[in-house]
Amino acid sequence: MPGAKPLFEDLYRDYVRRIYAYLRSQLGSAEDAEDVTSQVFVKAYEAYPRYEPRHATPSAWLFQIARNAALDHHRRSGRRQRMERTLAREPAAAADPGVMAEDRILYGELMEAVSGLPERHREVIGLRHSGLSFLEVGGLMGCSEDAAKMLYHRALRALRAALPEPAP
Amino acid sequence: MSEHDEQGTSDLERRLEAAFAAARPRRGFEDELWARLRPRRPWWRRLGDALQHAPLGRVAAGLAALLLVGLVATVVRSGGISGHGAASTASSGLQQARSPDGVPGAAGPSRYDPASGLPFGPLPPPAAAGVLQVINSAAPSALPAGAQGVVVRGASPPPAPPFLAVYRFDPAAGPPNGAILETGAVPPGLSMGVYPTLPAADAVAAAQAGTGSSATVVLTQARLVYVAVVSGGQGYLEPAYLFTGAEGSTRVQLLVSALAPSALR
Repeated sequence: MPGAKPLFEDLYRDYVRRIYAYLRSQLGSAEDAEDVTSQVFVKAYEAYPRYEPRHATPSAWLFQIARNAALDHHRRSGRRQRMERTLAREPAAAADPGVMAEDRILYGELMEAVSGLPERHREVIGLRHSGLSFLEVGGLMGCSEDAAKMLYHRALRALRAALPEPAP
Repeated sequence: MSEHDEQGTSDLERRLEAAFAAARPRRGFEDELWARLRPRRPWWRRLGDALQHAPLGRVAAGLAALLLVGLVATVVRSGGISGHGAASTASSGLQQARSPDGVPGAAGPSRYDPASGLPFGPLPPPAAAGVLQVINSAAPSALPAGAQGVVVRGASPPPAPPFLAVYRFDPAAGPPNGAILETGAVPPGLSMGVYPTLPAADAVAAAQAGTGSSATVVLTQARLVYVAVVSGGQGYLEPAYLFTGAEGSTRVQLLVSALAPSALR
């Protein structure tokens, strides 16, 4: 529920990783996710004086900005061009090779599979697993809570179909 | 949906949960982005954010203080003495602070303690220094008993220069005791003196004091801030290292004074 306006710094600390994870799932590459996360928070920072908590929760407000930024990014770069770049690029810089390997196993393939889904499927999975309720997801995607649930389950089925069968 | 399908779907949801929870930008990204964001808003907006969390009466008092400080700064400037804000360098501040009339740009009677050699004499430490606090949306509160120890992991405070500015204000019209201000949010025109600082490595050691093998609090970030300290009818803005982290899922913070022990009472 909307409440008092938090400090922007608290908002930043609470949401920066969630926004990054959402964008990682939407854009497929760690580097693009960082770039767009930066854009999201710059926009949010500049718009914060106009943000009214009684109109939207901080979560809904920030994810709306993130969703628009992700859609803009897709429009600007074009899917094919981005995927080619992703395949050619080294994994995101990380100091520890063990961490890189773990990251690839944990989420690299899955996040890339999510990013390869059709737009509505990709968005509903990204928003839902970034901690938003179905009511919030529906609000952001312009549909009812029930429609968001149905879309989510269809998206999961599509994701399962897109993933390689696990090794026996 | 068959039982096999349901099993597969819930397994996929668990994997997605793990994937989203594990997704992290590269190390240092969050601090770099925050450092880029902070200068984008003027100090009065940042101060406004901070004051929103103080009780209304104190907000009014704080605004009155700002007006008063602005008025005094204008009067002082018109008299040919320039005020200075948080951006003043330590060296120039040191020269000014030790000028014969004590504190430059002072909004009140200047004081210089010849016994200690410190502009305002030894200072009271922040009340919250060394106290683990839960970060609430309203105001920080002491962490309930039960934390067994603190470990600093990945938090590296910015290296402080040998001297940092301390500002003095009228407690009847300034920020409330314990208020935390970003370094860029210190209002201009306050009396200032410079004090010797505690090295960042010593601050980390102080933050970890009492660490045992059963440490439950992990501090992952640190930055330099100013803390309002009201004591003995006087208010000071003192530099401090603010460590933040978590105890389980609870976000916590820990203040460590950035002043050398010799500068504190």
